Amino acid sequence: MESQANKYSIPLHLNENSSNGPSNSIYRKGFAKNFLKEAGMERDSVQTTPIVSFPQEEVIHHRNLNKNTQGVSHSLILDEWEGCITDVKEDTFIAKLYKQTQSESDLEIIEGEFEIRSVPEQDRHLIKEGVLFYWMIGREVKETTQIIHGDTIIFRRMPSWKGFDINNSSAITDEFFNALSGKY
Amino acid sequence: MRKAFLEVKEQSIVLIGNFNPAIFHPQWLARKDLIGSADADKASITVNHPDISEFQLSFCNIQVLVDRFSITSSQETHFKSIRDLVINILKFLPETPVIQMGINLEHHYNFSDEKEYIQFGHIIVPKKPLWDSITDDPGVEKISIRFKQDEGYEGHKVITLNPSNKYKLGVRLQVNDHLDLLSSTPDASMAISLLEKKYDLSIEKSSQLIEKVFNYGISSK
Repeated sequence: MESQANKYSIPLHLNENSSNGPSNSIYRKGFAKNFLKEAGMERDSVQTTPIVSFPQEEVIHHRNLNKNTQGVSHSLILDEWEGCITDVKEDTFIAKLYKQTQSESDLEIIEGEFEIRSVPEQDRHLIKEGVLFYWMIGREVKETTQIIHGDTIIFRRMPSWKGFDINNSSAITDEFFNALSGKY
Repeated sequence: MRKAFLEVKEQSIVLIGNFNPAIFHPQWLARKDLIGSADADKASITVNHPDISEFQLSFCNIQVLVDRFSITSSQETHFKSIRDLVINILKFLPETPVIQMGINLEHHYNFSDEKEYIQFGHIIVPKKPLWDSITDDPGVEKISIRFKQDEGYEGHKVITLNPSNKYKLGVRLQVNDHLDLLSSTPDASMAISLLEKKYDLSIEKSSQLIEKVFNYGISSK
């Protein structure tokens, strides 16, 4: 595979870090299909595993197929809580948090107060009463050299929810609060 | 000391159907509030073209061809985020025909000792009596075992073992939970429904399966 990939690695004009919409590129029509076929990577139409990333100027190596995962940070969860915001104050928000365990009867519930500034600026508009989020404690490895232990708050984004979902979400929220209040 | 450590988990969702790659752009996702604006601004775009769109966000890679959509993350803290992102994308594009779906999980284990690494392969795929007698110094390159999908679902599952592409003395165990979406209406509704109902269970089962295989490989003699 290495020699084939070398042969068909295509130097391309790329639009790195652009935020101005679709870029002009020299990819010809049918490029994707032809590239995969010529590089011996034509996929089975029923295979639902990820395929190799498309090349930029670098060579694709046999055991280094997906260059996009090389050197990029990855993380593992050490502990995880699911939370629901119950009150928003000026600098902080209050949330009830529960931890999923193997048994529902072992549901562990705590209340926590989080600083709003600990949430990335791009997510602060999501801080509202009733919003669901995950609070995770984990380990992040930066470019395989630096290991950082810490916590992160990830809000659930649900902008596409329509009527059905909203009705459904009320039921979920009711269930959530029943669980929190011991009615589980 | 333990023989090997779990270093990386990678999660991906692959959809087979019909897509319009050109519209898949970080700024489109941000405009729909599916990702944060800072994530969109910092995205690294490999290509955006009528046939292909590929870009990297801080927590995932997205690749869209005319017949395939895939999203991959090696940040376990964002596995649920990629599920929500795919569900939201499909809800914005509800007419998108999706006929198959793969929910994939892979673990990369890194061995500290080469002998243990080789021994792991020998335990999972014994070389005696056949391979040792007909080949010289055989080793595992790739094995896949296909088995039945969970009851009530159409499709199959495949577990694959091969050397890791991330660690020199690493092994990669991957489960492909492949679902055929049989629906009278060729749209995204079935995919959305399955992601909402089955995703967490799929990850949990795949994780348990991978750990069983790995534990067998490092504990058996």
